[in-house]
Order: sequence, then structure tokens, then C-alpha cells
Amino acid sequence: MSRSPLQVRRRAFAAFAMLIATAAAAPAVVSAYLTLGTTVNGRTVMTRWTSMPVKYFVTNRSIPNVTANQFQTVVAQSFSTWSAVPTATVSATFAGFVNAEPVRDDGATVIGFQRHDELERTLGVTSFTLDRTTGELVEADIFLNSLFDWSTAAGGETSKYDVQSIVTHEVGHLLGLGHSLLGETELRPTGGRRVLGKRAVMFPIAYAVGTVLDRTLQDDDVAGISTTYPTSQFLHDTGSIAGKVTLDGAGIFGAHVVAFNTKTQAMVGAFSLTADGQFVIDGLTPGVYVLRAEPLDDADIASFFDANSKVEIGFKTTFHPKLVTVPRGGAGHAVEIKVTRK
Amino acid sequence: MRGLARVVAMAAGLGLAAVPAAAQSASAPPRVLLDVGGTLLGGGSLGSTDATYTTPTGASFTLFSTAQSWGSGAGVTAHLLIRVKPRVAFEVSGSWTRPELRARISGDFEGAADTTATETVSQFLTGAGVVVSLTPRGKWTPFARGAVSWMRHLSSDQTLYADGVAADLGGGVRYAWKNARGHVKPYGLRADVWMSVRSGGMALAQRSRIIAPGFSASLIFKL
Repeated sequence: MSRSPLQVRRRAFAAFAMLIATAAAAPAVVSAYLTLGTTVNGRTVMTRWTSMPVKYFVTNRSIPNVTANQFQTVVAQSFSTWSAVPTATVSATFAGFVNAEPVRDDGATVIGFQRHDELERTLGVTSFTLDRTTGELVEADIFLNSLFDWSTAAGGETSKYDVQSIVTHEVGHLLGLGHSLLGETELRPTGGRRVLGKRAVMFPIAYAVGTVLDRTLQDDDVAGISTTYPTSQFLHDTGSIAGKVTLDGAGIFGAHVVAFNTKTQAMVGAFSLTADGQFVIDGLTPGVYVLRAEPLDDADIASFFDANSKVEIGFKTTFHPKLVTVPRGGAGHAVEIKVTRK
Repeated sequence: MRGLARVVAMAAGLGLAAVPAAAQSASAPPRVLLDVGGTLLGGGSLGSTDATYTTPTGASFTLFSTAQSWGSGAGVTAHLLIRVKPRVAFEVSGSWTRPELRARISGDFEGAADTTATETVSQFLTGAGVVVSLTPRGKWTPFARGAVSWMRHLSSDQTLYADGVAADLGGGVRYAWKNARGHVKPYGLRADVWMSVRSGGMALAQRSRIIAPGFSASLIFKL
């Protein structure tokens, strides 16, 4: 999974492409946000680590302004951010410094810097090796692109990207999360996109240099990691919204549905992931929600779905005319969000 | 309706067990009265909430705005009045209404049409209070009333419930059209108006308390 400061670069990763290909055909949708998945014996399973803690190595290489020790400290903080989510069972262990490069199929999870001049809009990349018989992640590597200027300063540094923010995003991928669409962007005249605002660390486009806001997980991130690695209490205490998005009476693929809790102001999103437009938003606090369906037009579709997926974006953003109630530990009646053409 | 049925059945049972109607004289005000009728509970604003993103500077970016409110709801109500002093009575009551929870959604950044999203909720109230009768004027007896109730909201698909409390203060009038004899005979009419403070229950906003008027009209039975 790549992350770009300006525009998400088209870079297809096997695991992510598999998720879309299988989810589109499978009767059961993959749950909220985008979690990675693969097909095992004809059914879609969540791609995740099956044993904790995740053991990772850090490349013993410094770059200007960031020593290997500083980098390792920040990586540990990023893992701690995810493992601190009380409703998820995530843990990680630093196994030591290595000279190995990240992104090598060597069975070791390695995180480090690499310079990729050809990825002029990509800050970081996460790649996976998974067991296709079980869907289990067996290795995931992260590199941050040392083409850019980086900082580990507590409050960030002007004109440098914040290592902890970007590593926190990439660690989300390493743990099995895909991208979230909780954000608004605008096209830059020089190409790429600029973030106007967002509400998820897992949004594919980073804040500008000097910003440290992505060190803190948002509701959507917490729901995503908790759904992937749920505690029993999480399954008991939260509920879901399920339904479908239709255009002219037919289901559509790739519509983004956001559940907004007007009491807590929490926002959690998901996509319709079947040909008949079904979606599921898991990990919601019981309560009353506003539902909003929007097309995927604030980021490159390729950063969410396989390039061959028929993502429908030719519809107007629409609110569901009914408030939707979410019970504890279950789901209310399925809803249908009817959208109209642009 | 099942909730209401339970309230009425309980009330009737209490009344019959408490005071044999045959022991009352024809001229004395009845000691136990049951009334059943219709009610209308007012709604009110719950405030507003914005769905926001965070800009690169940490400021809020409004994706859309919502304004939440309770609509008014009509339903049925019952009161069981047990006179403990000539002008003072203890009362247990129950009601079932169907107010609408509303969120007016506007100002969407991507231009979605303004919408009012709604959910019709079953609202059950059961409580106790005191009724003080004022000086009768012929067959009309005005009264003042205060009560506290436990409140339950149940979603239309009956998958989500939430509880709260309500406090009422108001008054009304009873009209006795005849001196009924025997058990469970129509005795007269009752009309109530009150102001209610309702707090908790199914919440659409951080503020869940509303102050709203209520009205009911019912047929009185002497037990």
C-alpha cells in the first residue's frame, strides 16, 4: 500500500487486488472501511496476523535528520498507537536492527528507509506476504521513501514529513487495514491532490509537511482495527449497519457509505463491496446514525480497488432519509440507500 | 400496546384490591378512579451537530450540519387515582406515544440535497405523582398535578432501546356527569395540560433534555 503526498501512485499489490476481485463476487461482503482479504476455498477471509505479537525488525540505516535509533523509537510509538486501542488485540515486538532491506521476501518483517526516485509522489509503501491457504499474514515490510525530507521532532518540522504520522498509517496496512475515504481533497494545478480535511489516519493522502495530526487514530481507524482483531467485549458492545446502495434500482459497487453518530460525532465509513451493492459498517457504538453515500471521487480509485473493478462514481452524494438505529451486539433492519445519477 | 395493557391491568388490579367501591357513599367523591384516553406530547429541539473533518492546520472542516429534534407524538394514556385525603390523591400513570426523532441535514460540502432523516420511536412512560383537587364548581373539579416517570424509547425495528426520566407539572379538570354505582362504571371526563421535562432516552445529540407541553383527555371510570 502506498501513500502519497500529492497523488496516490498507481501501484497494485497482490493482497489488495485479491480483496477486490474476491469481494465483488463473494456473497458475503468484507466488513467496514477496507480491510484486506483473500479467497480461501472459495470464500473471502480477512487477511490478518493470526498470532501476536507481530515481530518486526528495523533497518539499521540513518538518513539526514533521522538516525536509525530515532526511527526505531518512532516505529515503536506507532505500533503502540495501534496496540493501545482497548477494543483490539494488537501487540508488536521490536526484534532488533538488521541490515536487510525492507520489501524482501525473506520471512522477516522489516521497516526502514529506501530511496525511490521513481516514486516521486509516494511517501511510504507496505507490502505483504501471505499464506494463500489460510489468508494469514506471514510477512509485511514497510519502507519510507528517503527521497523526501523527514522529521522525528515532537511537534513536527516545517517542510519535513512527520515520520510517526506516516509510519502509523503504514503500520495500519501492515496490520491488515486498507484505505479509508473519510476525507476531502482538491486537485492541484500541478497535479496530485491536496487534503482539505480528513478524519482517518488510513486516508490515502497525507497531510502536508510539518503536520503531526496523523499520529492520532480516529474513530474509523479504531473501528477498523477492532473489527480485524476484536476483543470479546468489542463484539458484545458494538453493532453494525448493513444494507445496499442502489442506482436506478440496481446495486452499485464501490459506493462509500458513512455512518455519522450525531451524539458522539463519530464517523465510520465502508464501501459497497458486492455487485448488488451490499455494504456492512461494523464496530459502531449503539445509537442513532445518519447515513451518507458518496462516490469515490476524492482519491485515486486504484488506491482502494483493483484497476479492473467497476467502481460506480456517477451518482450524487445522498443522505438516507431514515435515521438508522444500531443495537448492541447486532444489526438493525437492512437499509437501502437509493442514489441518483449526477 | 402491550406495555399500556400491563399498566392498565396493574392499575385496575390495584384499585379493586385497595377499595371496595360498594363501601363508598353515593355523595362522597369516589376514592378510586381510573381514566383512559388519548394524549399528545410535544417535541423540542435537541441542538445541532456538525460532521467535521480536520484540516491540515487542525481546524474543523464541516462536511455537513445536522439539527436534531423530537417531534410531537400522539398516543394513549391511563391514570389510576387513589384518594388519600379529601383533596389529595396519589396517582400512578402510564402512556404510550409515537414521537418522531428528526435530524435536519444541510450544508453538505459535496452538494447533497438537504434532507430530514427521521425515526419513529415508541415512547413509554410510567410513573407516580400527586393530584390536589381544588374547590369544585358544580360538576367541575379543577386540580393540580405533579408526577415523575420512568421513560423508555424503543426503535421502530425494536432492536434498540434507551431509558430516561420525565417530570411533569400541570393541572386539569374533572367533570363528573353522574354518580355512578357499582364496579367500573363511566363516571366522567378528565382533561390535563402540563409541562414536561424529559431527559435521557434515545439521544441524537449530546443534549438529551427537552421541555415540552403535553395534553390528554380521557374517560373516567369509578372503581
